[in-house]
Amino acid sequence: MNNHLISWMIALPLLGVLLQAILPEKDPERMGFVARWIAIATSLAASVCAVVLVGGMNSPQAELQGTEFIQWVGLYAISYEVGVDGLNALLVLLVATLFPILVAAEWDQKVGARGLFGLFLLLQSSFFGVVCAQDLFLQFFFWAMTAVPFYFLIGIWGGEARESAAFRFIVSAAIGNALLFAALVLVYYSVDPHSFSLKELTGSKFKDKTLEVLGGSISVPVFAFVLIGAGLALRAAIWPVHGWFINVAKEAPLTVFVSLSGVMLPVATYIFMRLGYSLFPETMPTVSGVIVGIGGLNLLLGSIFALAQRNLRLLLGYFSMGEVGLLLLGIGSLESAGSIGVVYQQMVLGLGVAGFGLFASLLEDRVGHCEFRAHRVEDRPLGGVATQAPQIALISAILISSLLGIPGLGGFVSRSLVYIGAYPSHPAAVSLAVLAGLLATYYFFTMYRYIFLGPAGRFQARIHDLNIREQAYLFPLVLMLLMCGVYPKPLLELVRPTVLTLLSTVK
Amino acid sequence: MTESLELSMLLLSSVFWLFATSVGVFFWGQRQGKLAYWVIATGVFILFISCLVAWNQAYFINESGFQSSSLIKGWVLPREISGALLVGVALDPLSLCSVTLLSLIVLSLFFQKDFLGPEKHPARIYSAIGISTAGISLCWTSITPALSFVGAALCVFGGFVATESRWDLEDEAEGITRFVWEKIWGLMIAWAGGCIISGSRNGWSWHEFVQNAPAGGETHEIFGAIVLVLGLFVQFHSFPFSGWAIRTSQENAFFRVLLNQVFPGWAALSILLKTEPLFRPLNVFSWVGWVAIISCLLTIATGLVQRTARISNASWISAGLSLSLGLLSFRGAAEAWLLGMGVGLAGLIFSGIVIALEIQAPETEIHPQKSNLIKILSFFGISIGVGLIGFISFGGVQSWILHSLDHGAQLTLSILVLLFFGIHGWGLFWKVFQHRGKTAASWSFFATLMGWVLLGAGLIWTGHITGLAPSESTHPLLKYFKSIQWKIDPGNEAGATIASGLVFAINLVSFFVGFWLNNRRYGVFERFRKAAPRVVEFVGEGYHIDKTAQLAANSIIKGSRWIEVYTEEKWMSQGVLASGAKGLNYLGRWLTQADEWAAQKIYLLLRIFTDGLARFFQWLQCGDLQWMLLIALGSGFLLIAILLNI
Repeated sequence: MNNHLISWMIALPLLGVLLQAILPEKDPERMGFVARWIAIATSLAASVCAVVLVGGMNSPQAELQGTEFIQWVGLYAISYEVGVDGLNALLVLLVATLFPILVAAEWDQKVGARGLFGLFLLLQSSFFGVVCAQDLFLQFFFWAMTAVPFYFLIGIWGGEARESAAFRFIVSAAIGNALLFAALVLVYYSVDPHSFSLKELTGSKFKDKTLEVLGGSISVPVFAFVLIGAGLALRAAIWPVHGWFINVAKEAPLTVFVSLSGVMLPVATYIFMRLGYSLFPETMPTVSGVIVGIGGLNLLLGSIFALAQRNLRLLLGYFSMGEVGLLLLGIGSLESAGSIGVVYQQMVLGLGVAGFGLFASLLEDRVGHCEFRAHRVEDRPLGGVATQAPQIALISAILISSLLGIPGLGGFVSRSLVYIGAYPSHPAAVSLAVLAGLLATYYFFTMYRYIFLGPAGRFQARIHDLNIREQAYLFPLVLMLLMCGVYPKPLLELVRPTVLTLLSTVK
Repeated sequence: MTESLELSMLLLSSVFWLFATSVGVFFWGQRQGKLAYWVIATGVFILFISCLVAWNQAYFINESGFQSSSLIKGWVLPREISGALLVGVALDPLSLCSVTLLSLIVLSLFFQKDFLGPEKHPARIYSAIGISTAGISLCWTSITPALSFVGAALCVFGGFVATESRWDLEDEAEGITRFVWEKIWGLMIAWAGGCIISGSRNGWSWHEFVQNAPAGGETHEIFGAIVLVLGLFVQFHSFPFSGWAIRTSQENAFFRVLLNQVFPGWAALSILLKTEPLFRPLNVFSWVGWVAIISCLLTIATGLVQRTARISNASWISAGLSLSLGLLSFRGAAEAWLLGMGVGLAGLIFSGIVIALEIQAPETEIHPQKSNLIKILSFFGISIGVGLIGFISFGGVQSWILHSLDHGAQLTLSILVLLFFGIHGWGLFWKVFQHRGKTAASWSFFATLMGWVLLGAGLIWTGHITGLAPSESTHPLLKYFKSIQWKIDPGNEAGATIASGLVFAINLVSFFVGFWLNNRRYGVFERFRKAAPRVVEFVGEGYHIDKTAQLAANSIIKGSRWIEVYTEEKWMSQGVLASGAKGLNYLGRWLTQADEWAAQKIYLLLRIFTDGLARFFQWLQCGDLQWMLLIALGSGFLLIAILLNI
């Protein structure tokens, strides 16, 4: 039976976009006010649908729940097939949590509020779609759709070099999408009857298929897997194809960068995990070493690059880039603890990165930039903020602690599971991950010291503590991270059955 | 262990209550100093009372002896799942003794305010005390690594909060940051070690680690154990991690020792004690012990050349905690516990004396009694830590000597280490002994310190007036140590007498050497300082480990900038992307030129082909022969041809 709630969840933000589009041009101030309320109302309504959907899930069940199926392009077996299971439920919650927060964070936006909120809503809808889609074509459709709002958000509301950053982003996204699409078409034609349905493609449906090229034969699963990996790597900021991401970190509005690093990166790894575990169960064990190796390298390089940063944006950028490595480490572990940990980390990382990005945004709003370090003490832009703004100090301490995986916070649980799961088969990569964690501890605490401790910086007078609106969107985020750290069991119980079922086919 | 919830839950609830109220005070207590005082004091009192109730229920009522109770639950994933993180607490004599001791120490702080000194924000100190006490109680009672690390992290957080009034000072901020990241580093390393061990076994509980035999992954387990010990060792601030302990700081001397050094150190010790049965079969301790002893000696050397009593005391505590790890390795948990607790208690008493000396009385006032009291207290304080007969640490130290009697090398090592440790400790005493200042600290302050001295008496902990830990003791703590097969002294009476005599002799010698080194008349250290200033500076600054580490960190940062510039800017932006763009440009230009050339050629070819035809048509059109005629003739010829069937 079709569950319309999931479709409402995807469609409500689109309704918001439509309403934004038909708002009259007259009286921009009043229309800006209306646009804000439309944005927050539709975004929150979609989030409520998401929470109800995930809350109503039957946790011991591994199969898809809350599904909806409609034939879309019947001729080519393309359907609108959506649903939630343990693999995507936490990401649904992540998207549901972050987008209303991002809308609230941009509440005072003066320039083109309608457009900005409309694009955010389009992003929310697209991400809900990508995460819930159970048809490869539909998933690709939503995934490709996420690139467009980002392009405009960076290109219009970004910094001085925004055009270049937006261009680099869209070129990377286009190439990545092209590779992914090529893989999907290859998969589609490799099964008989042709299908895009994940349910029908799950298992080793085309494991013996080969492709004749220049007299030689290439294994279809391996070729398609490489194409998918390469296509997603371009969008998940994997080293060395991460240049666009750092460029975007410098130029994009921080809320946009938050959605990029806090949502897009985890979602990219989710697609990789979903397709890898479902479509290529025979290939995954063979390439797991490579995946873990790339993950370990990413983690280490991300940490080393972050070590040298004096700017919060770049620090966050390199940290996020490195953390994708941890997700790959968990995916490649092919162990229950590691795989469950990675699903949990996708959500916890998204929340933590988003919180940290919003904290950087708070400082940027007050001070005008994100620099936190200078050679001489008297040149230091920030310092002693803890005494002036204790709430910001406390919230950022909790966010950093969660990102580092300090006990009692969400990051601790997910990192522990990834380490426990990955160590037996990939000890070197886990050692690299621990080393990266130690480096992260050093640079995060050094950053904290320069901003919050010590004598007052040059811009101290501009610093003030959180206002009610900021409290309203930051406190729930922090509370969620605390809850994820203190009582993770209900969420992990949702994840476990699906992950175990998928892993049983992989092994 | 009995699977009963009540007792464990009682203690756990009081710990949670203390933590919750402390966090509340941290947020809202700044303006409500008095309320903060009462809230935290009540929380600690409840913790203490729940310890007493637990004692009463578990020991005194039950005739068969102490009944341990434990509670263990799946925290992250169900308990039976591989890789599940568990939470569990156990009430056994070890945890109960430790929590009772520390709750009593903390509770006594609330009876007078001299410990606080001129503190700007006492509410934050109260909050820090509550958070740290909750954290360390959790560490002692926990039987799962997950909860132990939560407790240890709370201790670090408490230590951080305690420094709040000095966050705005440049040097202090540097020190605080150093403290936090070093401690967190240690915890992260230790936790990674726990994960590694857990990866090769099912369940994440110290208890299950001990019960389950290694599951074929011994190499991983050994590596995990080494990593775990290393991470916990960092918490002691012993060489080579002594940088923070030897930093000059204006922080309250007592709370710096209590919340930043002793509590985190005890938290680490509690985890080490619980892992002992796991590590023993893995033979990890064979070299951990040597490393700990060497580290202890090097830390003592650093502490000996310090000019100030507070830094020297900090080094001595670190060396003592390191020595207790050595004892854990060479002897067992009982000995390590006795020495570790003794050193911590001694360090606290000595830092209390430092506080007393900082509370200066006016020159006109004479406080002879207090001056003598300070000397007496510092004597007893140091005695608790150095293993003087009758005090808590004696049992640990004597047992080590006793078991080294048959091993020449180990005996020499143990005597040497204990001698240097004693010289350092007694040196601290002599430093105080020579102090001429007067104090205005209250009598209740000294009564508190005297109470701690009594807490350090061996009789309380071993049931023996000398502090000796005999194997047949009826003391619940020692019975407990024996019941879980942790090593305690066998009843070798002759050997015990020799060992006790040796310990006494070591203390006697170190007492006088300490006097000789620290007496102004001889000025040994001053002379040494003048003779070899660089050596003293090198040793005093912790063998320049910090400077070297800073240089290394700067090099890594420079290196990472270089890598970033070369990979991001030079290679990616200027290299790959720029050359890619240039390449595309060239390609575009080349294609355009090729297109033009091809177009011209095609045009030429077309012209050649069309020129003749065009000329022919032109000739037709413009010449004598007209189109019409041509078509008429042509069609006529065609018709004839068809009719004639040609």
